[in-house]
Amino acid sequence: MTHLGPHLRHYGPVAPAAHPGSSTSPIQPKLMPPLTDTFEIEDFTALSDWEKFVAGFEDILRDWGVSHYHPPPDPAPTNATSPGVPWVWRQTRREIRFMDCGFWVTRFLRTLDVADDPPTVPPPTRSDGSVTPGSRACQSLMNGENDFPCSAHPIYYFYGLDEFIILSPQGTEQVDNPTRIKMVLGTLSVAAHNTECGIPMFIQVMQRSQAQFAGLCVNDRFRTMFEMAVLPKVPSSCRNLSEILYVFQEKLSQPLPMSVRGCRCTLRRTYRLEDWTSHAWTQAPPDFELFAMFGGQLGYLNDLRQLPFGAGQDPVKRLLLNTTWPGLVEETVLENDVHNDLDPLEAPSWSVSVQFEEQPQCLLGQYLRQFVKVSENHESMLRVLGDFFNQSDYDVDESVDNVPNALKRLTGPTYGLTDIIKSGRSRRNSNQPGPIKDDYLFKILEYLFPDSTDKPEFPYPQDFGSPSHRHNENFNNFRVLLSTIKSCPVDGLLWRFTIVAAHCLHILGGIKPLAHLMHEFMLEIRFRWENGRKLPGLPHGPPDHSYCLFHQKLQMINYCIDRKLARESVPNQSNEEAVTPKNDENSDEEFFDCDEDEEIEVDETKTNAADLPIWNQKPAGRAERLGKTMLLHHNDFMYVPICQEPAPMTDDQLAEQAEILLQLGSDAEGSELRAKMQSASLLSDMESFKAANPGSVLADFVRWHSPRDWIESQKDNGEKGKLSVRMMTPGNAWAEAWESAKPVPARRQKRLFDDTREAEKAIKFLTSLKPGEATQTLMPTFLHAAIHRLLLETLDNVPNLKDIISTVLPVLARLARFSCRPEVQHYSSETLPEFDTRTNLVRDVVQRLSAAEIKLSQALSLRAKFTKDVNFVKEKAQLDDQEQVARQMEDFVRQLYSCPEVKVVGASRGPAGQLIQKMFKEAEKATQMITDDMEAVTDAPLKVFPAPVSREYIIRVAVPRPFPYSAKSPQRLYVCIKDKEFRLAGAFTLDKEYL
Amino acid sequence: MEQPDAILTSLKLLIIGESGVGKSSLLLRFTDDAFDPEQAATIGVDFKVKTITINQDKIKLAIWDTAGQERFRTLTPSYYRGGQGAILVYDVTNRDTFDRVDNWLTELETYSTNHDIVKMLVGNKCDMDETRAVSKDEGIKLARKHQMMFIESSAKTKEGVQCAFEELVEKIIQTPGLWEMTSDRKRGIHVAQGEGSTVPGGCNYCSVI
Ligand SMILES: Nc1nc2c(ncn2[C@@H]2O[C@H](COP(=O)(O)OP(=O)(O)OP(=O)(O)O)[C@@H](O)[C@H]2O)c(=O)[nH]1
Ligand SMILES: [Mg+2]
Repeated sequence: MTHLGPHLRHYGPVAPAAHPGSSTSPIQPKLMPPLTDTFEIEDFTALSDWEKFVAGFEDILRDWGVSHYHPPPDPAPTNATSPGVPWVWRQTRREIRFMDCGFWVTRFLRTLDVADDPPTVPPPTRSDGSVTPGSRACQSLMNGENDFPCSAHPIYYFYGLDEFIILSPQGTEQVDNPTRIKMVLGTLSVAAHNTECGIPMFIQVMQRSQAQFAGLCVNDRFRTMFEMAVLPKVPSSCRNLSEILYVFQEKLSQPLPMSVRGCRCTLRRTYRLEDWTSHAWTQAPPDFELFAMFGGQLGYLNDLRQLPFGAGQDPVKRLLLNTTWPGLVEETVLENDVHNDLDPLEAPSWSVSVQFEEQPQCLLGQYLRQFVKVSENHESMLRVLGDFFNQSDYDVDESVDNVPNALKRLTGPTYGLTDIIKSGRSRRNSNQPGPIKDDYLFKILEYLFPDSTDKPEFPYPQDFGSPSHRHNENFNNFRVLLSTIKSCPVDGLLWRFTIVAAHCLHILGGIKPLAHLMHEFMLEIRFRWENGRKLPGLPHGPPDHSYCLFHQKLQMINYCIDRKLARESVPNQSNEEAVTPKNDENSDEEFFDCDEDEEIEVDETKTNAADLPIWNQKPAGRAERLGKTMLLHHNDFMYVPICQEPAPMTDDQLAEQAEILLQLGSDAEGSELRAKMQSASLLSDMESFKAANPGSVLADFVRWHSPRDWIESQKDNGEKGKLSVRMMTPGNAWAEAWESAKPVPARRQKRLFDDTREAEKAIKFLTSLKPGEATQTLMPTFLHAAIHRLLLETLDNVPNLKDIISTVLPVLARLARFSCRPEVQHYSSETLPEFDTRTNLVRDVVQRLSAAEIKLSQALSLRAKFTKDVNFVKEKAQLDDQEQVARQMEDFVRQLYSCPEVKVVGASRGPAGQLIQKMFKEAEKATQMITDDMEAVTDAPLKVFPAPVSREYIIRVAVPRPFPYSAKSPQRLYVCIKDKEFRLAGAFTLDKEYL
Repeated sequence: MEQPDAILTSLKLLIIGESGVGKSSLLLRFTDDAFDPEQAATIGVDFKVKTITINQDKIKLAIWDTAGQERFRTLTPSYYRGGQGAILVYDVTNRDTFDRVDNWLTELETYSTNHDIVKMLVGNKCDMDETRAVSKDEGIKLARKHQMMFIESSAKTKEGVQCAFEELVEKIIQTPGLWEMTSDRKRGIHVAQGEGSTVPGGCNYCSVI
């Protein structure tokens, strides 16, 4: 206690400045020498510097408009913890120098969160000469409503003050020697008097981390000194309430002895829980061995079908339980050497707060970072796989026929992957084991190509577009956004491949197994192409441009397989047709000829079949009749021909094509060339049309192909109509094409789409990807899968998570507009800046998703701890309604997650209270290594709580000081006893009236 | 340092709509200020470039003109990729072309990679008032319904053509996240535009008349 005593003597009252009027001059501050002998300034050499310092400080106060300012008591002091009150702290900061030492002057004000600035025009409290004894500061000191505020400024925490000014040294400077402290405190004192500012003022002393302050507050009637002491150990005179009360009385008995009665004591004990025992929440990474053995039957923990999620160590580091006894009258409570009334289970108020791990190692985050890292790897397949990799595996293989016959024409519904792999489909140097163990590999390939077994364990979904497998409502919220990110269908072939690739990378040891997986994947694809077996897990049809390039390539291969199968399924047609045109007559296409139930009105002016050249008399390749439309110059109906479908393209081919079109230039000539380049399908249509409609003319074609260019005649002169101007212009592209078109049905034309070439091109593209490049092209799908994983776990009560996802998705949509290098390098040599943009966007997304995972893990961990034991809670807390309990606990968890400190309703007896007791008890058992059996035998009831980590005391009393006839003034002492820290923070007030 | 006449950005615009509504004619009017009654029907896709200045910024436009004919429709949508603005044209003298605007919108939705692509509905051939089959009000209504901009134009008389393109471009520039600054402009400038973290929401509807 010796620390507190001297302060009063040294920094005793300072007389107010004699000339208040002149104190406005900053250059010549009127500093009165101290009148009382208790204020000593010994070092007069520093006087002028000090004068400047004081003047500067006063200027700041005036600037802030707090001179002549005595904050009045708050008419309706509000409870700090009352929910929904938007309290905020406002700070204003200025700089000031003392010699070569810089200081910050900071004003703190706790106000309601309204848009205006802190009040700069103070209410005039001075004018009528009556300062209420209860100034704002005095009121705050005595107000017990705001005790132990959470995450507050230390001054607010120690003293309850909600408006104050702090002078603190800048940088590493610190005010630590008594002379200096005295000097600065003197400054505050003088300035407070000169400016008549009634806001409490503090100076930060000692090391900043100690949060130690000294200060004062002066108004007309009272002077309050704020004194603080921080020690590494509790002194023997301050170990419990009785001793602390004694010290408090001693202190108030200076300068004049007095007896103090009726102190109010607020007490708090805080307990820490770090061992979660059975309530721990940790996630194990997925396990290949288990997957290979049991498939997906063990639940998602070991399931390779998902990306992993969660933290390896519990993301909730500790729980702090505060048990509080507010406002006890000193006589009603006893805590001394031998006796202790304070049982935390009986404490009227409980509150808890949780602390999270700062950098929890989360599984998804690790996967994300590793995937990004590998995408920057430039090694080739050969380099990564060494001898194991055989380039010739991929090359067009003339020896396809050598593949065992059983495999060549697969007629049955299934074929065994195992057989294929063993039969040396991958003609590897076979005694050498690959980076992925064979049994893992079979399992993986079976998962990727489930159609290769009789009873697939994991078949692909039937319909990729259906909302049925977007089971979770969260997905619906993001459906539109998710469709813009250019990845692939959820749980399709590429989706599975990407996830398995990520697992290979992470669990099986990096880029080698990844390369091996790619190698086997491509072997299977080539095998399927060569053997006319479609790839599973892909949506039907030509490449869909809303998916990523990798996926488009797979779709292209599938489309080619389709076309190839279709071509081959018409037996011998293409060969024989040319030789024996007789076949035509019997083929289905000519069906329409036989279907005539209407007679053709023979028009004498028109030609008949016999008039046509012999090679164009027989119609060929008719799809259907176009209503009753007649040809213009020939006695026949008009038929829609069977046409060739135009060639589908993947993004890169399209971009290449666009590039070529662009290079032709913007002028008329360029336009003409472009038209020529693209007229292949027009010409094909014309030839098909001519073949289907012998005797037709351009106008007939236009009536079918571009009806708006045929203007029906209004006149009744026999003329049916005429072509539009643009079609009649001599030498126009259409007329020219028509001239050159020969009557050839689609099936005999040159193919517009060469499926063999296109499939080989697509396979070539995929096999030429280096492992790192493959991960680049898979990145959007991978990130999509990561989001998917987060959404699977998402709870409604995790704030921010949805926000994170909805800000991530537009970034991904933007990313979808950029190619990565491997996607364009085969046709464009340019190094585009967009590669960097894409990389940066990826990094950004990865960072945000990792953050989201941490947030979600924290919330899930809290939920696991507090919402699982509903039954236990229900029983213990003697509540009937299970649902209500569950709801209460959910609510509690939500608060824990979003508020720094949460009140436990019903303290130890409430539902949460019961559960917390149980946790502490279990942890206690664990530390003492007591098993349940042992507990049953021992009689002594097991302690629930360990020793508190802190004991806090707030003692308050209003007494007349220093004289019995002085006005009553607030006195307050805060004490905190911790293992390695002891703190006293006193506020002692004197009535100045008779001093 | 930034050159005085550096290009702020390059934009890709699309012109779509039924055959014969005047898409190629509109484009020719805009780029060359000409009208060619013998303009051939477009085969596949065609395009023109033009640089315009909006609010002192030079913007390079690559405008893709697509064929409206049914048989080309399997081919042309592939070129929608990356388009930031679309001009949907119908012919005010042909009801059918107006009724099919809905189909074109669906097609745009399906194939365009930018979901916030800015759309402008253009009723062309408004010089032919005597054979008009679609009123201006109907056009405005449809545009409002689908949050598009709207204007009537005539490639023949120039009316509305310049305005249609300029307003469209301006709207694109005002939409964050839809375009990227060209790399030479980006250097040394804080990339404030084009940062695509906001979802441009709200109503794109705007009548340019
Ligand atoms: N009166 C009038 N005629 C127009 C106007 N715009 C176009 N035309 C005519 O309409 C016809 C078709 O115009 P195009 O520009 O070729 O039509 P398009 O939309 O490009 O047609 P496709 O290329 O087949 O899709 C031409 O004969 C033009 O001269 C206009 O504003 N007024
Ligand atoms: Mg055209």
